[in-house]
Amino acid sequence: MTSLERGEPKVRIRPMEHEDIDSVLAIDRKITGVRRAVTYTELITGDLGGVLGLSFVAEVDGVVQGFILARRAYVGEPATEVGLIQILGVDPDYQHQGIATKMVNTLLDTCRSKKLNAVRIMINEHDSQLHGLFEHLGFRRGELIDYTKTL
Amino acid sequence: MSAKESAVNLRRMARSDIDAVLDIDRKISGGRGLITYRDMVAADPGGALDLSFVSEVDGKVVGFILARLTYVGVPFIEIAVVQAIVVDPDYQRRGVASRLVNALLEHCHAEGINTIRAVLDERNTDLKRFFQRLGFRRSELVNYVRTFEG
Repeated sequence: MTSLERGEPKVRIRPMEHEDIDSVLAIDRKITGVRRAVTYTELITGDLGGVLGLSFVAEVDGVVQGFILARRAYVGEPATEVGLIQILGVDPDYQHQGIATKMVNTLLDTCRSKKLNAVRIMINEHDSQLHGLFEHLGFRRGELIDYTKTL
Repeated sequence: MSAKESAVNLRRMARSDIDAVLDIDRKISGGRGLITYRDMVAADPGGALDLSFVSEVDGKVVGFILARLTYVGVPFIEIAVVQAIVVDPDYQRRGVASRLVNALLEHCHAEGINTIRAVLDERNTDLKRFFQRLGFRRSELVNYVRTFEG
């Protein structure tokens, strides 16, 4: 069980690599309590070009404690190239320390330098904490909504 | 409406369909082309994550649905995301789009993918009605976007 000693932890944001998948899954398990099927790993590794290009991890004192999975996508009419945040996760022991903000800012800088037009995320309209985070980061509510069918 | 009612055949999209798909896209967009060859290569028709289907009439591709398996959110969920549904204008109003969505739904059901999602503009009432008719319901997800100027 890790608890942070007093003082500023050293947070380093770096591009996600194949070897990070176990750490990412461990954080996911910690957040959700769910053990994923191995297919998850296969899918992520099978999608390297798409996913890992815009994905980052946050290390605190050399250990991965957060991740952001994003990919390029073409959306709208006329089609524009955007960065799509798929998953954002921070180890519960390391939340509320600005790690998510640092990861999103790194993604924004990267997308800007790659000349993408925008970065998008779909979030629950009732999740005021997430709204607050993204509004603070300069995001604004868009006009897209989601229709879902559950089988 | 023409009298001939040819059989519509639905099948998974393959790499060899890319040219036909781009032709239809150019046709509906007045030659501008909303989807590029690069998009289609990235979509990787027939690949591990691809869930796209085409609809054929007399062996000719007349419509397609681009869809993809992905993981989103915390907690992660496995979902199929519909990225585009396009039907050749000469074959519209014949239920081709509905059949494409249903082919995707059946495939997802068989593969144990339980959530199918389509992101659309909230002002597009036609599209909303289309998905509602096929059993889709508005979820609580909305988009947040950060655009870059210049």
